Amino acid sequence: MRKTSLIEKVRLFGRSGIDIVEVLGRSTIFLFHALLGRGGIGGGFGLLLKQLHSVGVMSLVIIVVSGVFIGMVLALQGFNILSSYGSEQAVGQMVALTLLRELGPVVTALLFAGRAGSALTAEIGNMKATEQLSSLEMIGVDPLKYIVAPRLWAGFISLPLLAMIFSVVGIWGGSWVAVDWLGVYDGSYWANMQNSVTFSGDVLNGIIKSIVFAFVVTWIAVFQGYDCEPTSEGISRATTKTVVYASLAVLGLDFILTALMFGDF
Amino acid sequence: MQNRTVEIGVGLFLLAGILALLLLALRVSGLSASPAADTYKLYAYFDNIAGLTVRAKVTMAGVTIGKVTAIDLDRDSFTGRVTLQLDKKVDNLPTDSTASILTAGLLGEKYIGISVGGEEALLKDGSTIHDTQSSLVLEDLIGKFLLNTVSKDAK
Amino acid sequence: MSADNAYAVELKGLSFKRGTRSIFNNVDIRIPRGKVTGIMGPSGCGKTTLLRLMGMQLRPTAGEVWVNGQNLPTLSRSDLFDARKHMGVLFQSGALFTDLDVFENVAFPLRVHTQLSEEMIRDIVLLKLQAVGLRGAIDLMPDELSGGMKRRVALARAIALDPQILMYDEPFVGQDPIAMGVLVRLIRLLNDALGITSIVVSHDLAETASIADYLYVVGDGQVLGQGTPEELMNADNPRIRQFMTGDPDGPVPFHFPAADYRSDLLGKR
Repeated sequence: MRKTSLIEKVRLFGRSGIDIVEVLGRSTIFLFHALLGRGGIGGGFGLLLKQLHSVGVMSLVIIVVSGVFIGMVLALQGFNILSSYGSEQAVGQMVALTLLRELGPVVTALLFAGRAGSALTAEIGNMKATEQLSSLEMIGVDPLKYIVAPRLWAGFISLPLLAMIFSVVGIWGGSWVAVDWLGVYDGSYWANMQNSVTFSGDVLNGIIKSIVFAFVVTWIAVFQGYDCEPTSEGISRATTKTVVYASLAVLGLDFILTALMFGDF
Repeated sequence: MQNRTVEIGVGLFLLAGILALLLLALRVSGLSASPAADTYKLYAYFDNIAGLTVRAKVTMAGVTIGKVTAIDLDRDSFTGRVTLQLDKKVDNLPTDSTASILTAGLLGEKYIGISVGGEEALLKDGSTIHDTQSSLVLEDLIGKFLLNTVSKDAK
Repeated sequence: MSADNAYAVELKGLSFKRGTRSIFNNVDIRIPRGKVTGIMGPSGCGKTTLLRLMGMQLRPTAGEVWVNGQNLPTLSRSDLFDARKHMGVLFQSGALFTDLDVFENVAFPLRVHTQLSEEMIRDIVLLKLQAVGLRGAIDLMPDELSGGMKRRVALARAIALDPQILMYDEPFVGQDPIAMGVLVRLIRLLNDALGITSIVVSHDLAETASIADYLYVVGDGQVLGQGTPEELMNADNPRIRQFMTGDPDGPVPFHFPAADYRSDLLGKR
């Protein structure tokens, strides 16, 4: 009995390994068909526009509000720490670098996974549960082209834009606290920032990060919806998975990307 | 009708994104339209550059006139060679100008300050500043100070 | 071209497994062209799976699926989507696109597959909606329709491209008697008027038998019997008889397989 249970454990371990590889394979084929298969984005520009609206524009409010607050908090905290070294004029530089390199791409991606990603999963899962995807297939329309591709592209386009908007409003929020409230000289807030922030190093790397995050988060969200069990529990489980997997993927990738970009190797 | 609002919304969203990129480029990172067009290069050798980093600013009389673009070790003289990129507008530096590594505040960042000499000849693109003053290393300073007190006591 | 032209759909030696569980084992089914064919069987025997296999939404483990002279499992992804233009499916829930109104739902196949002008599309949509008696509901959204109406709109959408084969997945489930009567009449009417091949998958015996020209009874992953409704009513096979007469107990047992009742009651846990 003992012996079989040990073998059984090994078997289950192997089983889960096979499952993981299988899901990875399926999701890659899924992505490949959706993006590179015949016919480009089904339904053309109109569908993409609609998705840009529901994925991008609808996430704008939460991104802007969070951006302002995070910028303000950063300025407040930074001011407290920096003023003990007498260099509170560097607060602009600190806010800008933190936002551009890290918080902009990462927090935007996390918020995006929660706001747009879960909605994408639920929407596609619901279409699957109500047989709308099957119905499309039988009408002779590839749901990967018609439903999945526009959503993928909308995510790829929206998230980097949202991340940049997040950083800008964050820096603006920081200047509001630091300059207007705490009395840092306006000129040194911006000049210190401009001296230390480089376009190719900081801004561009931040954008590259957000592009990678956009790819991963949207892919996970859309695949989870498409792959979910077509029941109410299946959809809610898939939605949870989207948020959890996407967040973990973003944080893990962020470390790798940061090490590649700013670590010295 | 509904289509119109969607289109306007997306249009504004895309515009906001582009505007954000422009702001990041121009206002935040201070990228100018033609960054590398009107600069020239100078070299300076320091015995110790400790703490100086690439992108540190180069100032003259407190005004930023350029930045450090590269730092490497000269194999022959075992000194640190710093490449400076200076504004073309400041092209009238005498050859005996002094470059020194300074610190902003007590613990602030390191930067290079240039003070003018009196020669007629001017530094050109690619020439070297010979008169340099190295970074003040706190440990050395303390070491010297201690040594002085010790030798004073010995007397 | 091994498919006989008298048959619109032919399943040859079809097997399908889900995981290790065998759903169908070496099934042969031939659907005659231009007729209404019923596929019947108890719930959970894989009738809907069979329909999905015919539309190649599921890939069979083994066997051939010939539709209109094409063996579907051998087709490429894009050829498959072309082949499906000749098939219409009415799904159990109707599966209307919830973000489009009734008109756009019916117009959808026309918009994606044809280059027709807007007036032409409008005319065709009105024609199809008239056929299912819902021309007046043209501006409603799917969630404003009753279950029966949804199915009729979905039917109008399924016939928008004038398919050669029309499949119905449990069309009578959860319908009130009036809606059921309407659907029964519609299926027969559309079949005769448009000259299409209809496949009705259902466990509603009376309704299916009343419109079907030919019936298949499936169960246990096999075809238990086939024939005209009259032939099946008088079949010798006890399993078919049980299904056709609706006996609660018989070859399909009332009790789920269990240990002996006595020993279960008296035995210790």
